[in-house]
Amino acid sequence: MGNPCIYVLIWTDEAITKVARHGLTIKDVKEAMVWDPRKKAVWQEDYEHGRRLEVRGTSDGNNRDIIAYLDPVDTRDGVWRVRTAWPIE
Amino acid sequence: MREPEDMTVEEALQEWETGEPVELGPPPARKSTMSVYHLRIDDDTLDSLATLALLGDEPPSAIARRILKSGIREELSRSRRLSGDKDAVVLDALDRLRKFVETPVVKTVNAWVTPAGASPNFIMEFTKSQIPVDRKEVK
Repeated sequence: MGNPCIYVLIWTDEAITKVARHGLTIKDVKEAMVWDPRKKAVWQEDYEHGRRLEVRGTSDGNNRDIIAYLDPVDTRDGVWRVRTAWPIE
Repeated sequence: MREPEDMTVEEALQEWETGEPVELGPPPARKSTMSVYHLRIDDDTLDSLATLALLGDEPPSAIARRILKSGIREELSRSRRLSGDKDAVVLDALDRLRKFVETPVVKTVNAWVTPAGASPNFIMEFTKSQIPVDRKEVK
């Protein structure tokens, strides 16, 4: 299996409201998690809920560093579910 | 292990140090502005959406997106007006003006309407969307 790609983000009600409460927009998160070519990621093992990806990237529009948790949905097609995201001040 | 939803940014940054680094693939070649949002919807509304799709040439999801977008725009503008946001009122007026200017006055001439009392030479052309419903039958 090759390196995982992040192409599509799936949003839930909870993630949308969490991210908005953290002062981020959907676009900010997408810029940092999908489009930033220099983003970094680490796998976090959770024996109860499975693996999740922790990603750090920068939004292009307002140059904000963002950290987020993504659950794999279809890693081959690059589909991930957003759990939450924060700006790193 | 705590759920991300219950964590703070500081905890997330601490957990970062314990993760297993992974090399990510390149970003997509094209920058799409679309995301995926799951929405539960009642069966009757979904049936109505399917009916609308059969009447036109748009798929149900495109119709739903269009209706949602326009509804959200109106809802936002109404709540801003109600909150007394003067800037929002001006922006809303400008937005309406922009939409009015961008709408072609004559797109397809499919009706000629003579307003009551107007001189015979005064004929107005309406586009399909501008024809009031009760005048659509006027030839």
